[in-house]
Amino acid sequence: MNLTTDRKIQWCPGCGNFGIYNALKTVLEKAIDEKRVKQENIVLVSGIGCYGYITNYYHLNSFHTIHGRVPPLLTGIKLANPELIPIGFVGDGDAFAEGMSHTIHIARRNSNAKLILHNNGVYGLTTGQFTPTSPKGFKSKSTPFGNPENPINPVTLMLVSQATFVARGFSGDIKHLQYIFDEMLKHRGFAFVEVLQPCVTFNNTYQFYKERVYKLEETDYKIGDFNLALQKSLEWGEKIPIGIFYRSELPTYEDLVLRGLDLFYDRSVPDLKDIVKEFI
Amino acid sequence: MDFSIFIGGQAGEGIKRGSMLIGKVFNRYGYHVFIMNDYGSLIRGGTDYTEIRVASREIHTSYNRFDYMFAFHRDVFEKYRGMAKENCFTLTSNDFPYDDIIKEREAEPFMKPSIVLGVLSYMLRIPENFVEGVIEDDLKKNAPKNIELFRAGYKLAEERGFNSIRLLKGDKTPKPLLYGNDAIGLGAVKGGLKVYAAYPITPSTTLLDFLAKNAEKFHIVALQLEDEIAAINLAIGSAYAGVRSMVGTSGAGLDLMGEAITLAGATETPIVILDVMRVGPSTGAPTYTEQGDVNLALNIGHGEFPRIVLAPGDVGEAFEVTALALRFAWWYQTPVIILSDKHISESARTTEIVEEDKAFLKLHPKTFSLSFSDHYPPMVKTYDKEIDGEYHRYKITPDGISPYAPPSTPDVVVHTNSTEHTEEGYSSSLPETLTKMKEKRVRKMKTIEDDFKLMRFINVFGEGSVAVVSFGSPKGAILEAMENLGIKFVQVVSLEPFPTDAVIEELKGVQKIISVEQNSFGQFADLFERKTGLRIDKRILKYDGRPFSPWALRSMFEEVLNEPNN
Repeated sequence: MNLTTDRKIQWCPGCGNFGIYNALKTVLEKAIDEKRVKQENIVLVSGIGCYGYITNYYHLNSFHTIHGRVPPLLTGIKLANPELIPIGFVGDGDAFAEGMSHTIHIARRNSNAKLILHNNGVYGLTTGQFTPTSPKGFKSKSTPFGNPENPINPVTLMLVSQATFVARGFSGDIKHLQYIFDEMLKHRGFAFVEVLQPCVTFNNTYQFYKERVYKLEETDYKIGDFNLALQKSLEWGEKIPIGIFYRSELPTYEDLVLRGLDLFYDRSVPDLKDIVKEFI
Repeated sequence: MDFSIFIGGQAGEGIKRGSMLIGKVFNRYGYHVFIMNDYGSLIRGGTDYTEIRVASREIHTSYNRFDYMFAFHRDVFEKYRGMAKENCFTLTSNDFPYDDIIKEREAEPFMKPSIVLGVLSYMLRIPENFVEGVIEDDLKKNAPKNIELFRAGYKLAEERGFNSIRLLKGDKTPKPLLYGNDAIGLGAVKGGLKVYAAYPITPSTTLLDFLAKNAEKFHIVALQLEDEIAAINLAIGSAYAGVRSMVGTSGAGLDLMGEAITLAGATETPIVILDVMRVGPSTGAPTYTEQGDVNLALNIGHGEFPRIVLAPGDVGEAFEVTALALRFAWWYQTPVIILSDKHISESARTTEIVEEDKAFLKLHPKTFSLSFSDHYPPMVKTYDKEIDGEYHRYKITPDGISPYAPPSTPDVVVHTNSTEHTEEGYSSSLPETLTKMKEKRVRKMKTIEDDFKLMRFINVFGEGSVAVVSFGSPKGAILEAMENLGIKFVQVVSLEPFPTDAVIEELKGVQKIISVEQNSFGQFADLFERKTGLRIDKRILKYDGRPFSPWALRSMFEEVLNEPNN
């Protein structure tokens, strides 16, 4: 299986998007080859940013949508046909600026969809403005005197929003990212993966992250304790944990809303003649 | 026989629910019924009222003057007493013990309308057992208490010797008594609706409630989202995945949906957007009626993309138009906006649920000879590998409509793209791509225009050298106002594409044109003049949030008729 398309990838050399793109491609190709998922059932949804063109580079169903609105689209797709596997890509602007409320609501709904955050802490496509995840004091084109805002911690936010799978990876460690994406794919419910990535042109954090990240699974960290996960999510400084912070299995939004209804295959239209009788 | 009953009180006194019960009694008793709810934007208190109009002939709107006035508080009576007809029977809390009857029987304040029903039944000598049968049917477990109240009202009216006349059982077969929003919901189901998404906003909320309550029966889901933006983006996701979806809102919510409407236009995703218009701008008067969103519906969203805007004129048309809107959205793969308003959506009338317009079906006989309950995807240009070759979401075709396939189709990759795209659906901003795709969408709009020319989408009533042109809810008042005046009435159902040729043809030989609409700018009149090149001689505009009264409109028509011809 090869999911490559004939499109020329147009990211800066060394862009963190390559790591995410390649890691997911390997994971999906393997899953299709091993017949764990059907190729035609995967649907990729992306928002707006340099990363947004990612849907052009996979030979998979896709919907390249507008800024910030990826989560409701994912839920709509899953509801319409639960056989589909919707995987969303969002940037830090999509997820926490323009589309903040959708990101929180999809998590607390536990919609059975995946969301991958390309977190580079800068608006690259518009050539270098700060984002909701940029550190305080960050000097960007729109904050020449330093970012006056406190950054959002995506992992903490998703935990308190009751996401049932919360993980963090680093685009510079593709093998580890593959492991996380594979676990994400297996999760039934809303899965959120933050990927720390450099923007080589406007915010090159490659060295910064490389020196600081460590893997949760290489420590005695146990997945499943919410309070522990919350505490762990706050660790940010000399050491930055990556790996799976939290996982739990709960009924999904689609389970609760559909209650056995099949919207895609059941095309029967009820007889209105009987229904309107009630209005007489 | 044509009379109107006023029931006034505070929010929480069951006026809306009670008027439906009373309406049902008259419907089953063989009369036409129209119910108009006038209420404020609050949950308790205020001065709300309902008009229940009952007639032996077909009626189309509220009369806005009353033969009977029942008021649970003095202030609501004082506020509206000017709308009483001569010899109007009035019964306010000053001269009738509504509250004591409730208290004595340990009933709830929201059951007060059942007392009114008792008084009315005595005064019109409608058999008690007949009325009690309707109460039982309608209120189920709440029936016994309401029957008690009904009897108390009846008995007290008898004791006080209120005047009574015998209202004979009418000869009309009872028809469904539907709110406009119920009819829109039923029409959507008829059109194959599977996903309805919304954020509560008056006066569209009752549609969300209606669909949610009946979701199981209708085999649909009706969802409340965090905002209008999420609602429409979710619906677009569902449509992309292959099921029919629709959103409902009011003007302020439509504003929020703008970016997603252009998304649907650019990605060619079928979506139906209902706007139940209310008084704007901004928060305006949320519970009152207006037709102020014509320009918004015609222009919402940046850039250029094909769209259809339909405006039903009454409850029956609301059903028909909604079912068609879903068909159009899927056939043309583009957004369709339905413009309803508070006076259609939150008023109820006895109406026939008619089969949908066959004109569109005739236009595409092959597609529509299939019963859409048995074929998937329903009534859409389905992708066929043998004819179309490799799947390209935005394949260039003569009519601008590309073959459709949902994700999950084996050997098909569906690339849907909000950025300008190649036929395959890949992002591209090359000049030739932009030109090609813009021309594709222009051709699609042309196809829609050509189809709509054949379907006409106007309704024509009466004959005369003076013509009235209008759209939407004023239809009802116009139909009643023009009776025997020798006036012709052309109602426009499709605002985009505008049925220019059909309108011009109908207005040939007409000396004077009057427009009627419910806003202050004359948005419809402007559109009409722009599209037809004809001049409107008199613009009748109303913008006080209250529906047109047929008698008031009639005297305005008479004025025009009496002007000397120049």
